[in-house]
Amino acid sequence: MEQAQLLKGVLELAVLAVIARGETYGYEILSTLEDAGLDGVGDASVYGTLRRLEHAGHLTSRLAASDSGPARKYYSVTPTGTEQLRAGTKSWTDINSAFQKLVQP
Amino acid sequence: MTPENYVDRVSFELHDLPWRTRRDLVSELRTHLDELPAGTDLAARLGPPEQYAADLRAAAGLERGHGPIAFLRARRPRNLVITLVLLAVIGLAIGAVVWIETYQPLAFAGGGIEPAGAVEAPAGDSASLVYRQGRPFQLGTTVQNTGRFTVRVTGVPESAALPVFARLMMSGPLENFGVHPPYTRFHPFDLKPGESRLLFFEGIGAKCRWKGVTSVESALAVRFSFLWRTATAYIPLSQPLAIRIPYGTSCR
Repeated sequence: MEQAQLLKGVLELAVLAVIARGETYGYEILSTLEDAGLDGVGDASVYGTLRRLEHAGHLTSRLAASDSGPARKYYSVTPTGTEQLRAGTKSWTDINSAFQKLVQP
Repeated sequence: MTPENYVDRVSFELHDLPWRTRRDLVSELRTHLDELPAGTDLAARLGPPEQYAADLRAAAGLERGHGPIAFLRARRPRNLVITLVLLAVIGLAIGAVVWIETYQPLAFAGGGIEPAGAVEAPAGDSASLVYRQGRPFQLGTTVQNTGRFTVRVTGVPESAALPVFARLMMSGPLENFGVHPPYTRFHPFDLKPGESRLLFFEGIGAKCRWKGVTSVESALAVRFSFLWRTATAYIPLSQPLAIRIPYGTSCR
């Protein structure tokens, strides 16, 4: 199975995790994900996920002028987003532990 | 592919989305493309625009919109104008049809013909005639087109109660509402705006089926056509005419 397919399930958590570090914008989120090794995720998927999380109330955004080019949209995690991240991380950890038990000889 | 081409093609793929949503997504894509290092191969980095739009839609949970509501929401300013123009055209068309269906420009022109022997009532608002077999008979009225469009006068059905053998006659266009012979047998004609003509039945007394009764004629049923529509206008006589058929009348 390709990494991109596996990532779809946790992309929402990964994006929340990046933004939870501090206010950031789309391109920086993509760069952070790539630097972390999640380079199989498409740019469109990240921007779509940002929009969905914002509509769900897990993120807030504001426009701020950038040094180069048009204004950037900066995202922050809301309290419900923080809770979503916490619950999702726990679920992911549980699944990962279960999976590790399955694959260990 | 230039960034602007890429944005245009993605925008096209999202055309069914609400106008504001599409504007936000496209604006965000523009910002993103500006952030990419100069010379980035957009198709290699982002995939084809169609795929980018599909991934964006899937990740954002934006379903494809269908139907007239989606159409109205999609390109709001343009679609609003199109919709308003269409509604205006439909409204005008309906208005035109309703107007044509109710257009009735024929009116009494102020004169007519009564049969010889008719006696005017003391009040001067009606006349009466005692039927006599074979007596010459004339009864008609003047019709004017008071509208702004020409209509075609196609006929005047004879009243079933009229005890005469008669044929329908007509005058030429009347000048100053005067009634001038010679008259001709009726044939369908165009009545121009402002024009008047005399229409009348001419014949002899006959067909007195109901003896002892009095029938009253007060109008002619003038058939006319305008565009696709044919209708009847009831044009009053100068005054109502009561025709009395006495008992003992000889009839054939």
